[in-house]
Amino acid sequence: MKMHMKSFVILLLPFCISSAFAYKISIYTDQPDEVKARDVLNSFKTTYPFSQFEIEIEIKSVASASLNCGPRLGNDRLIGCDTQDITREAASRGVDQVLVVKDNPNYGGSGGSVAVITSISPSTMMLHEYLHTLGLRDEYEYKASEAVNYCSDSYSGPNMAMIEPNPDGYANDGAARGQHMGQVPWGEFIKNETLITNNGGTKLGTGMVNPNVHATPNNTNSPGRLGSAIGLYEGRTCKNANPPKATWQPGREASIMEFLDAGLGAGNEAMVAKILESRGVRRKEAPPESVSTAVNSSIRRSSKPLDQNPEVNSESPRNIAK
Amino acid sequence: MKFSLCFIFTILMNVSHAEVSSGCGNLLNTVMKYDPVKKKASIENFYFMDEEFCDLGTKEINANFDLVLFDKNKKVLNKKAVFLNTMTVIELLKPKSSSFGKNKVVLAPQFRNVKFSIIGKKVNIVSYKIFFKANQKLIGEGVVQ
Repeated sequence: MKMHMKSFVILLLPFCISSAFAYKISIYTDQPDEVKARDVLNSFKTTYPFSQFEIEIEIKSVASASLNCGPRLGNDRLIGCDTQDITREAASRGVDQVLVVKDNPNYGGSGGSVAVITSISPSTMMLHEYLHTLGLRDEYEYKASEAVNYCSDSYSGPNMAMIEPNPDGYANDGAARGQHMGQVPWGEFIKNETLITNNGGTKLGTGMVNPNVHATPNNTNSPGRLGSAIGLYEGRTCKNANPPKATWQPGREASIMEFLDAGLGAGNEAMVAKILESRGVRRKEAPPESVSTAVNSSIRRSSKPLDQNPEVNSESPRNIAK
Repeated sequence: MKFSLCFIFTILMNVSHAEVSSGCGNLLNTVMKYDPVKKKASIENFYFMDEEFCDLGTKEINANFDLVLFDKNKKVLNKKAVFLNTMTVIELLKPKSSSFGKNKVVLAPQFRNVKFSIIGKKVNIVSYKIFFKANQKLIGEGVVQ
């Protein structure tokens, strides 16, 4: 009897968890026409792997004062926001993640627990900043003054490994794998046939990141297939640190963590998907093979619409999209 | 049609609750705060919501904090490993280009919404503790308000 009930529940899951149970992102903006926020929404809707997950995105128009944004470090061009108020307001409505589009004529943004961009910046900058929210690191070359802040041994992230190669090299690729794969967050996505060494297995690295070749933005429904295999590619992020530090990335092509016209690259796509899954964000079209996979999400049964919460005192969210 | 099926689903989820998912309960949404200067964390706000929530995101792969909720007998009611970016990095773009320019770190407090699945009454939760995941150092504790 219990088994039958369980099976019946599993059969019903696809009908029920497709809309009301999505991971909720709220884009707060003070731009009057909300144009940039809509661009950001579309970027998430169309960019792999975000497009493959049950993510519900709303745009919430608010007064400028509500965003608590302003110049930072005495520089009018460095815009930062105190996000406590909007994070609290969003939490009261069941929102998982806040993003901010600030109406401002300077190009820029900030990455942290809440991603912020200015209205003049490209929408892909929000993807970049949100990837920081998920823990991904910058892949561009830091100046020496910047490297001081980041290039410690603990700088590794889902898209970046800090590995100092053996001065004497390696006996072969297997030896390098045995020594270093535990330090590579995306190691599970490197195929056995992809070497993580060159020069006959003696030198660490599948190759080097080529900043002149950008990963193709992926608006399809499958992982990026163009470009190099996922491997261990030497980057330039901390080469200006004192002393210089070797950093490694999953793709040969420069990604959106270096250039905003680039895509995530296959390695970063795989890591972002893994992070989202670990956060309980459900993939679209989850196979109903078992309860544990079918309910691979934060499942909610909403009893009232977001905008009926009495604590919401600003304009109601619009443009909700999945 | 869809609504009806969902209604049945909801009933069955309640009937066979323990069978379907052990992580289901009522939704508690919270605001976690981390102060990178003081290296202290807290839960600033608690929102108990009239929604069912099955939390399968309790162990984020790159988690750097452990959040633990306790009852009045200091028994662990809920534990969650989460990632919170501990600093704000302000990045400037080179105008009309896809390249980044200046980059500055701001050590401002960070806030993140963290959801819990709460089984039983909300009054059962009375306190919390927050630990750095790397060394299990206690960096924040408080009572549920």
